[in-house]
Amino acid sequence: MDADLRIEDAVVHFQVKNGIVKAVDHVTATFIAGEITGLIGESGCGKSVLGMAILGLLPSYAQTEGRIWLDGKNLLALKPGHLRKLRGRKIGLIPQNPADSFNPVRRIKGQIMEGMQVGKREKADTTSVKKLLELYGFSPIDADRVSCSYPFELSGGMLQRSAAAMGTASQPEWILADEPSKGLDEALRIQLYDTLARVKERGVKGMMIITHDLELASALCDSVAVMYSGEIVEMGKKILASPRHPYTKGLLASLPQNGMNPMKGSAPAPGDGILGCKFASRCPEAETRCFQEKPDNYPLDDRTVRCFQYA
Amino acid sequence: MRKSQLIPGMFGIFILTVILLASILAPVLAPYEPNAIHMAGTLMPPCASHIMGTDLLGRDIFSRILYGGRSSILLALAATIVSMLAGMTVGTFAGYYGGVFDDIVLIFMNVFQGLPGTSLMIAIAGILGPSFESLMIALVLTSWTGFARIVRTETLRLKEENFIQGLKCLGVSSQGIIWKHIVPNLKGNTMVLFATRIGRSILSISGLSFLGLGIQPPDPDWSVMLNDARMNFRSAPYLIMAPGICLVLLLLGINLVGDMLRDLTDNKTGEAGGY
Amino acid sequence: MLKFVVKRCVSVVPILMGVSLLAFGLGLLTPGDPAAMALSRDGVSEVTPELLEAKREELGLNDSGFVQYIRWARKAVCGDLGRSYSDNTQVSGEFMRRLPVTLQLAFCSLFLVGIFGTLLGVFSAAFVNRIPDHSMKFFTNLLMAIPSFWLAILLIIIFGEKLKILPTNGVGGFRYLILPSVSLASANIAMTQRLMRSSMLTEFGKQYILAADAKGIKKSWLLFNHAFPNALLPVVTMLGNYLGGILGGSVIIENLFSLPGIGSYVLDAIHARDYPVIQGYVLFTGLIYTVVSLAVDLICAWLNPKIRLGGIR
Repeated sequence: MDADLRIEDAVVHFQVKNGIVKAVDHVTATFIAGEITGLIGESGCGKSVLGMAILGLLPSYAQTEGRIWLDGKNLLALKPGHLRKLRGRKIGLIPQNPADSFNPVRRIKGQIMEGMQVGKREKADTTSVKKLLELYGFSPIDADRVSCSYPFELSGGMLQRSAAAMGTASQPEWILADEPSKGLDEALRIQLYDTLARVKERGVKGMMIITHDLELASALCDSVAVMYSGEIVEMGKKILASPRHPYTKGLLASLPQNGMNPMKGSAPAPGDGILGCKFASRCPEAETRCFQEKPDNYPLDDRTVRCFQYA
Repeated sequence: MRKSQLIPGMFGIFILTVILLASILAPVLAPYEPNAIHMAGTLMPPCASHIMGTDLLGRDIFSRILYGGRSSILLALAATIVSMLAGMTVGTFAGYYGGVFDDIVLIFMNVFQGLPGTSLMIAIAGILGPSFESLMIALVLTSWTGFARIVRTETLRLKEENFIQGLKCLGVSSQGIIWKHIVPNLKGNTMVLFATRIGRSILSISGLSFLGLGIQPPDPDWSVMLNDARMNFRSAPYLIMAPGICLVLLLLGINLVGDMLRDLTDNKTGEAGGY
Repeated sequence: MLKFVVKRCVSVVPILMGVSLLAFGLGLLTPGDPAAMALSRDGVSEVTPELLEAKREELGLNDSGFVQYIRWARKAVCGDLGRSYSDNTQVSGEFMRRLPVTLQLAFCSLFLVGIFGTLLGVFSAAFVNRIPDHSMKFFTNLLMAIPSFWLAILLIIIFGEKLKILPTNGVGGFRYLILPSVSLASANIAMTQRLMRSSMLTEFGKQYILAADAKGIKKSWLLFNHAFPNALLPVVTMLGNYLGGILGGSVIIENLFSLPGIGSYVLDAIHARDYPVIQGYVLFTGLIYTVVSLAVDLICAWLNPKIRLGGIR
């Protein structure tokens, strides 16, 4: 059986008042077991929607096409009840905005214990919760205090680590971290690297990090997929070290340490029907062909690039 | 918003149309004079000549039913319009000008909402004695706060919006801003509340009339008919069926239309949530 | 938490003062001369201007409205609401004697409202925009359209006359409260159901529900252990408000089921033009309503760990 998580031709679209919005537009990608894969792109490019599609947590009015294969099952074709059984056991989530991710009226302990009960890999009791919190860098005394606290009593950094503990409590095979570095200051980011590195110690097979934070992606990820307007434009290893797609190059050039040269224009609205390459209007290297035909994902060394330059 | 979601609202409009038409055309449609006493044929069960039967005084129930919505509907409409005008005026001025006037209005609103509305209404109607005026006073006194509250909140919000601030900078007078820019923006919310309040007013009127504190016999009114039947409904249940069902249908129609208005003005909950 | 409690309790004082002013003001609205009425109550058949003037002085009717209010309010605080015109008994004593009946009825129906309103709300939310939700919406619309007194008559006919399984008259244990409570509760159940549904939907949209769902917990667990406690808070606050409607509605229901509560007391007083009783009724229900709303607010605050543990003051 295939150990990897494979996405084939996945489409997610939303019915809105005036038409259909394709948030994920025919994405094909493979997340390799044993690796950390980064899913990067600007906000609104559909990376979080793709993540939620993998977890089966899309809102009911979302419509999906294509296939997402895990353990020989097509997640997009499964019934909601069946998907629920896979969540926590097969795939776990480290949610974004840890401060909003805990139930405000319940203690941390119970919320982590729930995950353990689902996972059934260790005894769901106070001792295991404390041990898990200690794994994420809490001292035994702090672990004790945190587990008995309500979310509003904890600091941002404590919540970040507790959220990682909650997401991995069930010891899922795959873990999806959604924008883990959103809204963190420098000290907390360093702590986050440590936290995410420790997630591996919970015995996960593979990990996906959804982020717009290129620094985090290049520090932690073995391979990276770059998304633009619902499509994957470049995917493979060492992409951030040697970008090929003009969009990836542009993203890197806009970083402060690379001179902060932002790209001109903005991404097309998800509803716009664009004939050619979606990036063409902003691309400094665009040719006439780019506006008329749609480029495919072309293989290049150990990556794929959606650009005619590499056709 | 899908078309199928409009079905209950359309059903409501249909019910209301039928009731309103019946009330307006009552003089034409009614087979008998609604107050004509006929002691020879009292408490007759439904039959060919009296399709809904006759009451304790031999009056034709069907004729009385046709007339029976008139007073309540008119009274509820009048009371709600007056409450709405009063509440809107007080609410916009309190919200727009703020200051001492706003504080006083807030205290008034809190006091009136600190009393159970129905109890207050019963007390007012009870003290003033049963008449159209005292019903109006009781209704308006207990329902203006609802309008004032939402209008005030909405005005406070609008006042901070950029376009109002901009108009102020352009030197538009406060009167002009209130009438041309704030009041039109209150339309959606007040319309929904209007529908709700009409329903509430009819419920209150019917409750008071049933207690003998509202519309008075021999005025043919559904609640009065129910009150008249209190001694006899155990032996003649048909006395309470027709007026009660009419009252329920009227209120149901109003509720359904109110729901539709709510859905049309804000469609937030319609799409949210996937569980 | 203590600071919060004190603050809430203090905020009730001006409302109670306003309510007392309103009750007093209602007394001024009464048609007819109170002195003349007092004289007739005392059994004086021949009313002379001198007697009237003396009575006026005795009752303090010649003082300014403000002085009269202070005197009336001071007595009211001590539990003296004056004497009934019709039988010369202490109004407050009669209220206290009848209060248990009304409170039993009110809390019985509030209990029904709390249980059925919230559970049906969760049910609708669990099937949002599907057939059970749509049917529930129509059903609650229907419940809200049925006047409590008509429902009461129907229940009397069905359960009292036809089936003969429940008493419809007077007091005597829990069985006697079933039909009146159901009649009072039904419309409020519908309103609570609406509120609970939309409150649940608001919670569904929040991030913590997504995070909890991602853990793979059962749907029922997600509904009842995550969304429910959070969605309940605004609903509990409104339950206090519904008590107002229930207290008002109990006038009709007590009358229909011959329950000797404060509702039937005031109705008799209205027919007898017994104004001190009506005035006392306004003050009394205002007091009950305010106190219960305060209690509900405090319960809500206590249910919310953020306030209980002092995060918000």
